[in-house]
Amino acid sequence: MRKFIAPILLSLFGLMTMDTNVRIVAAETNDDDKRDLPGLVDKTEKREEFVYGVNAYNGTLYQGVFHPPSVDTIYLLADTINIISPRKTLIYYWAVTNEYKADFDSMNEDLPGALEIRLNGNLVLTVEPTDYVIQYPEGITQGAAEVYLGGAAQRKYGEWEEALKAYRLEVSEYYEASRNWRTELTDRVQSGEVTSEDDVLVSQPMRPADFLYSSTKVFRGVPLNLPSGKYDIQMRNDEGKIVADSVKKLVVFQSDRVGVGYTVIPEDKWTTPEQTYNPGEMLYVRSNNTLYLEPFFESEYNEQYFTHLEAPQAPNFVNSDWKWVKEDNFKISGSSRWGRSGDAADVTFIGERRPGRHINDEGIGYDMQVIERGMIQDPIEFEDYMVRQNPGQALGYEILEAMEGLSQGMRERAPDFSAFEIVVRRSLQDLQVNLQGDDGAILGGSTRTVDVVRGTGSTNLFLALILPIALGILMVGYRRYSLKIHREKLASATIENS
Amino acid sequence: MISTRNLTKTYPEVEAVKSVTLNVRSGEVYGFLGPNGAGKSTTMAMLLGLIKPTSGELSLFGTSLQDDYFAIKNAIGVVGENPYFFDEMTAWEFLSFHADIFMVEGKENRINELMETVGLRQYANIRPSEYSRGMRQKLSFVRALLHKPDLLMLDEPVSGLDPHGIRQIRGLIEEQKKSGTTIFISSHILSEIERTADRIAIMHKGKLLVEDNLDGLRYSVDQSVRVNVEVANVPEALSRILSKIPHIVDHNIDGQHIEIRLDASSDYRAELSSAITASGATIIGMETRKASLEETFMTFTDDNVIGLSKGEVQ
Amino acid sequence: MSDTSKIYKQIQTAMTIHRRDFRIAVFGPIIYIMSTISITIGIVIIRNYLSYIESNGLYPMPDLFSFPYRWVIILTGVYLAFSAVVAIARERESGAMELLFYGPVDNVSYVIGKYSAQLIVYCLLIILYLVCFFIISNIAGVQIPASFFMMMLLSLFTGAYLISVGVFVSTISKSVRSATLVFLTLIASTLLIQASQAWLSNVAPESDYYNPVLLLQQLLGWVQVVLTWLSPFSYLNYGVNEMLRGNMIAFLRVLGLSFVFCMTFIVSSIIGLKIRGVRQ
Repeated sequence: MRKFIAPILLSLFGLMTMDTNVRIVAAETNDDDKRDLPGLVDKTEKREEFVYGVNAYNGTLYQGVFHPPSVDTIYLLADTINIISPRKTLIYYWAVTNEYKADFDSMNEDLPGALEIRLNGNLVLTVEPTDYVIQYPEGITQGAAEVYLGGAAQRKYGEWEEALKAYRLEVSEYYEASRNWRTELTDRVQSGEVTSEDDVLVSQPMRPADFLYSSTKVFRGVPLNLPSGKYDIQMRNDEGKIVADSVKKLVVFQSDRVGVGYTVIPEDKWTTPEQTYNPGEMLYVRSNNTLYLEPFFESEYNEQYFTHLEAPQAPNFVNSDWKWVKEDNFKISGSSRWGRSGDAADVTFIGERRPGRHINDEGIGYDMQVIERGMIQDPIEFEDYMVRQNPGQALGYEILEAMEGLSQGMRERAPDFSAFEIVVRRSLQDLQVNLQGDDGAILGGSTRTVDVVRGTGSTNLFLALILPIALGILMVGYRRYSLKIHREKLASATIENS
Repeated sequence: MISTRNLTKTYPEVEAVKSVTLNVRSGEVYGFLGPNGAGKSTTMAMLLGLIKPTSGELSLFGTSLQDDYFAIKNAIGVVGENPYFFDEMTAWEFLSFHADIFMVEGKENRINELMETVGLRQYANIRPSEYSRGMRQKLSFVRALLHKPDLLMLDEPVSGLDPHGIRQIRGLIEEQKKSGTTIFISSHILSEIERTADRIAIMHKGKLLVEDNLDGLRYSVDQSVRVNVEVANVPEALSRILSKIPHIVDHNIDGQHIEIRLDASSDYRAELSSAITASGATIIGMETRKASLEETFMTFTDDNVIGLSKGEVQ
Repeated sequence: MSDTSKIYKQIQTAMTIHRRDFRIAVFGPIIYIMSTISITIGIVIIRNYLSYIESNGLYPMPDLFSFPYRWVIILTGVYLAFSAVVAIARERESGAMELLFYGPVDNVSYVIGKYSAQLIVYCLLIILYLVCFFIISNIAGVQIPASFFMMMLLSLFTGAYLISVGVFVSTISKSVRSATLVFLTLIASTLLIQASQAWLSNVAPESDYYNPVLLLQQLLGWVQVVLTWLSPFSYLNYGVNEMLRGNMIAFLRVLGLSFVFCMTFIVSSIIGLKIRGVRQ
């Protein structure tokens, strides 16, 4: 709680805009809120409106949002495919969240026509709607999103359906095999053939890997891939007329900076990690502590733009700041090798390059370079870690290297996290860490300074107040003293004169 | 030294100073008279550049304030009606600060010398807020004299002082007068002006009514000479005889006292004496009396007289 | 009198007024009481951080000292601006300003003298704070980062700007009361508008289009944008953020803008004093 008092105080003096903390996020387009509060349903009036449904790429995945007539600007990331879908639907005002919602279930009409994009008043692009599908071959939470347009959309959607069908078949076969295996196992146990657990495990059927491949249905929309700039957007229907409420501003932006953030896990509080986004930020740490640093790629955007990309109806920012956005695109080689066999191979931390954005090349492994007082120390390697709960009365846990964990019988588990380990000794001074690639280059924006806090928040800090108090006493005292001396001098001069 | 021409200051509600033209000569003591609200302070403020005239011209030392602001201000010492000070400073610090503002050389000696003169030296390390009214006024004088100004402008310098204080301030003014400093005194205490001023100007309701020496002022108000005669006996024929004398404008017999107004064109006292003696009266005493400044001032500031004398006195 | 000698005289006079005000401030107890209060608040914030680090083992942040230092600077700047407001308005009200203008003091020398005295006091207080923060950093066992010195530089400019606002308010005000009222109203309205804007952005209007609440939200938003462009606090905040981001161009722009605004307010004060006059 303590660390939140300061920003609130700061906001009072305008040093931080309060609205960043109270922003309404996520413009969901379903009626969940309303269903939670049935008493309010009748009060909402639905009306037919033109809206833009937008699948906006946020650097990690596609965010589905819609822009009612009350929103005058659409925000999109530059140099990525975004899908804009002109629709006629029913919208209603939802006072609970202070925003409009769309009832796409009741009405979701495609509008014939084309989108016109203007830059400085000149028409630069006219695009007609096409079929599209958005897929995440490695799952929504990891890997890249893929967008397929036109015929490819239908084909890829078909492939996804086939893959799903195959997965379901595999699962079905797995359950069948499992049933058979249990039956066989029961028989063998009863007959006394099975003597060790290992025998059983070896012959157990393998569960198919989770089906992470994800896909939207095939929809119609207008794909846009624009360089950064401030455009105007409008829809012209088949009759050549501008559709009412379709004229909006279109802000296409890119990140201001890219960097590497870290999730920092303190050894003694691994469930409450902190995150550091700002390159060059200080990590103030208590001495005699061990930290685990999990790196991630990140991009910094204009906060106003990015917030409205994800939540178009959020209030406008008065003072737009910058916002770091975590992008989980560091990959770890060898992670798939974790299985029940327990033969974990060496793990390498691999950075992935997105053209023009990060300085590291795909496939380069990284170590953590540590510089103490200007001297380069031994590099720290990226390791997998497991957390073992201590049994019995001694509540707590310990963090073990994965290999060590395996030797302690935690074979069924994948590592809990992978990170660089920094042991913070009290003697550490001026410590700087960054990521250094195999090619010797430092990964841009990966530097952090670790400052070991040796003191505590004790009352000794108030000793600093002695200085202004003493100075005040000295100056005021000097003034009084000099006046006294002057007065005495004058008095003696007066006596002499008289 | 000071010269104004049609100096006017108009506020939205009132015309405070109406086309004032005055001239203060070098080395003279110039009394600036007027009842409260006559426009004296506004005129002084314009002379000092504290407020901007609505129209008209003014010059000090033969030049305008805009042209040579610092040189003019360095040559003027001002004592305001209310002695202002800075709460945080002792009297000595206050004077030292002003000496610095005027870049007074040898400021310590000068301060000590002046403080000694006014008898405040032993109180130099006291804050002026602890001073009596008279002490504060004296301190204001010291401040105004620190840089040996050529022109001393005094606004009600003895207002609120006790007789002893008035005498001390009067002494200071006379000293400055002797040393050749031009003094501009604005006041409504007529006796002080009468004692010290070489020339007097009277303001009333924003207008400068007259500017002259005291005799000139008197003459402009009343062209006769008043003679009071005390006689041992009053013969019956005396009144008739006096009425027949052509130089006697008017007379009034009250017991043994006779008040006579003579034509001021010449000295007719010898003729008057002979006529009284000839009537059989014995003269015990005779005294010529001039109109006081107060009488003159009252005459000038009387609306009726103003109406009559408009255009004649200036 | 030539322009050169006029400027020389103005500088001399300004210096004299400056010395007087500076001495009054330095030899009086108020600035020490105020700086003690400011540093106390700074220490309380730092203590909170250290306690958090102590209990949680870790706290990533741009700089442990920047936030408490900003508070110290805000309090100091507001105090000195207020002090300038009161000092000038009180001199006018008491007639002391008129007394000064009897002599060779003009609008320029008076405003510059008063302003520079506050500014130099402010600079000395910053040095005092630097020493105090060094003591605190030693006791806490935390290093002061290089960015702290940049922030000190920035705080000089934004503080100078804040003081110039105070001088301006006082030169155009009739009395201590009105000057205080205007200054406090400025500060209070800034805070009120920000608080109202934050609060209103969460208020759900009962209907949708053309709702007065929406209109008010928009209106307050615009007012706040204007305030952002004018407020020294905003410049301090923006400058610190951009400096910590490593955006030195934006940092220098903040320095430049603060300087320009500061000069604008000083010139406005000189003109304001000329128009308003030295008499109450």
